[in-house]
Amino acid sequence: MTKYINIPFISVIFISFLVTSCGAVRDSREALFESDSSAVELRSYQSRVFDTTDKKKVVKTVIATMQDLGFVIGDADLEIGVVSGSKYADEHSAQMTVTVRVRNATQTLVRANVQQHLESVEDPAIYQDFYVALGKAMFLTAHNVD
Amino acid sequence: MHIIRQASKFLLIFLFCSNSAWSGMSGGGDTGASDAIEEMEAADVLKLTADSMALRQMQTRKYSTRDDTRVIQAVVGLLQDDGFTIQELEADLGVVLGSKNREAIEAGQVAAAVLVGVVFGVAIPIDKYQLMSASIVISEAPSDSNSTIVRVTFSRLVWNTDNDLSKAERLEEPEMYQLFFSKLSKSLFLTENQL
Repeated sequence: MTKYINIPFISVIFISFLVTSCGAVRDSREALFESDSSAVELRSYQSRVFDTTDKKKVVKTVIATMQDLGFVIGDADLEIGVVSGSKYADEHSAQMTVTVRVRNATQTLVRANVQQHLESVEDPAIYQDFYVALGKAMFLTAHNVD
Repeated sequence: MHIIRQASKFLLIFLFCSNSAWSGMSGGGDTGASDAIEEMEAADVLKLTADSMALRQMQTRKYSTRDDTRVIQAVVGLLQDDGFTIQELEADLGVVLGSKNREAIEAGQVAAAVLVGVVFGVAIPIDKYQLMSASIVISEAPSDSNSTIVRVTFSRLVWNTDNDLSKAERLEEPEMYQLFFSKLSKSLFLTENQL
């Protein structure tokens, strides 16, 4: 009999150990406004500037580049300058949104953000890959935002 | 003892499922493209891969017209013929997204589930329904201003009997794309050309 009495006690210890070891004692609603980087940092590596004011050309090239990268275009709007797509690759599926706006008399600003594995992608190198592909497709160099 | 028995049951089921899933995948007679996706690293999500160009060729055809409106109308008509509903349409950019919900029950999976049920006495989830999408982008051919390029991507999301997402995949059977483009050619009274 004695060995059965201990089971709830042991499981309580085990569960509390699990919870504390994960450090996960937090409200999952906090994910609404969370980010590992500051907004300024985020914008700097998610954005590039191109020396053109042809917004339509930029948006169309963004669409073509996303297709080449394996994204399925789900939504696009020229007036607002937004393109969204999903990449379906089972465990590595990803969602991406790219915005395009004319920045001044000579330049257009492009900003991309990607989420994957239930997290927003915050690795500057991954965004760099996108801008390398986009720059090639546009025959233009992608500048960092100054 | 009971827990150990349960655990070993689940281990067996897991081995069985992973094995059948693997043989299902390799038995699909698919091209190398889907293998490449399986191996894709999360960090490579925005990198062009070796099969990007092959994929582009399969998904793209060139038509000698610059009448975008006519091409969009033909594409929308084709999607309707196949039971798709239009989710998004942006004529300025030539973007059309259609989708449809369909059953996704496959005889092979049902048989495997029944077998597992009989042998181990547990129910395993099988694919039940799917959301199939067709995303089409129409644009001017870069090298030829008298032609229009049509690129289509088919994909699907599949949910199982537990209502969990079991598959999220691009459909890569070349026949699907050939069929779509041959229908589009007929509808436009134009011949399609490969890039």
